[in-house]
Amino acid sequence: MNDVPALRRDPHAAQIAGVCVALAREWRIDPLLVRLGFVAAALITNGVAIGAYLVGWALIPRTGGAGEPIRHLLPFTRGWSRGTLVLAVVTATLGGLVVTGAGPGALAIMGIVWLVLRLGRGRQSAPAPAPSHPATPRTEFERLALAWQSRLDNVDAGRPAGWEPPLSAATALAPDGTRAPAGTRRRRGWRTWCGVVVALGGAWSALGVLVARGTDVPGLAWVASTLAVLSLALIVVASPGRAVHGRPGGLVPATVVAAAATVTMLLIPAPSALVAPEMHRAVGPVAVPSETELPSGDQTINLRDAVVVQTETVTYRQDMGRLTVLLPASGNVRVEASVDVGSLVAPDASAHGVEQTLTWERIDDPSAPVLTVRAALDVGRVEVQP
Amino acid sequence: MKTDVTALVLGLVGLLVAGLGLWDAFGTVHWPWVWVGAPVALVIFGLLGLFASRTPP
Repeated sequence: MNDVPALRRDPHAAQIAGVCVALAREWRIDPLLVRLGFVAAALITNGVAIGAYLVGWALIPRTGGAGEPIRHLLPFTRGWSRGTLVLAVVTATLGGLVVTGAGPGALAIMGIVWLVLRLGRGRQSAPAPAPSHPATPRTEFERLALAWQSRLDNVDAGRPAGWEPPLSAATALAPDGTRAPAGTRRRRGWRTWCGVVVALGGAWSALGVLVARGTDVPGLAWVASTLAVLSLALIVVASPGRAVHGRPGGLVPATVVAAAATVTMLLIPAPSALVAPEMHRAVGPVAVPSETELPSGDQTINLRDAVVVQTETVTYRQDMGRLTVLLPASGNVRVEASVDVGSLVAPDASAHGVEQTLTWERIDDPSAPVLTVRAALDVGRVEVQP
Repeated sequence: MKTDVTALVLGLVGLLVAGLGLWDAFGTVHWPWVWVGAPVALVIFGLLGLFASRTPP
């Protein structure tokens, strides 16, 4: 076959099947970025990215392998051209995703598969081959020989000749081009984690002092301060002098988890605000304050029993949550709703997205007074119910 | 010697999110500013990463 693809999956560097590593090497970026991108894409696309991963696995040969795995699994495809093969695999995968309704469930299954493969590999994998060149060059000649050997290794492995391994704990290079000794990397990792623990203790102690002084410190502050410490640690280990020793194990996953927790707590109101939707009721002539700031969470403005006796405007503002507006049963009413990010829903109109506005009105008698209700929400959903 | 660009950019993004979280915890976040500022910050972090990942000729 003349059109052998340049992409190769390296089973030694793989977490699942090596698709992300193959793409990372092709694009010459850190595999971690591709893995994070795949997870994010899988969540955003309701699982379609998992199908893309399966396509990658089916079509990208292993390092040292003869061809695409799909040709081994399905021998009748061996005579197909590469274009036909790609088209068939993509079509079959998309069809499978549509039929099975892939989504979070598919992601969970993939996680289980990853666990099984990960645990299984620990028993089955052979030890890594010993390097065929000296680990620490002592002369300029040895350094050049090492660099040349590295290029040959890359070509043999199907990688670009100039490819350099990512700066991870397993492949860290010292400033002079040599690998940092494993013991040094471990010691550096532990020292970094010790620093993280000290900084975390300091941050939490500061929050504890605030609590002791009577300041209300929400849970978000604890999580965000943890994220701040972990992020600072990442920035510190990113410096060239520290990067040669690799990232401390677990620092990136811990930071990602802390970031996910912070974002979740930022975007979802605290449970206390969600326990019981508050009702803001106006009975008789509308005499509520002209402007009201509502707390975050589910809120209902109940104007069902209000009687419109004069033309006036009432405004409700809310930072985040869901705002339901129940309009007076009779009378002229106009609703002017706006949301910075979210959705607006009225009986015969709706709007979704960023910086949206929506106007809805019911004018029974043009000569009668009009009540204008303005609902301004930063993030969330406004629903108008006549 | 090379900067670990991945760790640098992840750390900066994490710091941005942490700042937002602390702002929300101890004050009122002005979300219209965030909707503008956060993408701008991401662009700056990305450019910083690109600059840091340049290989000398």
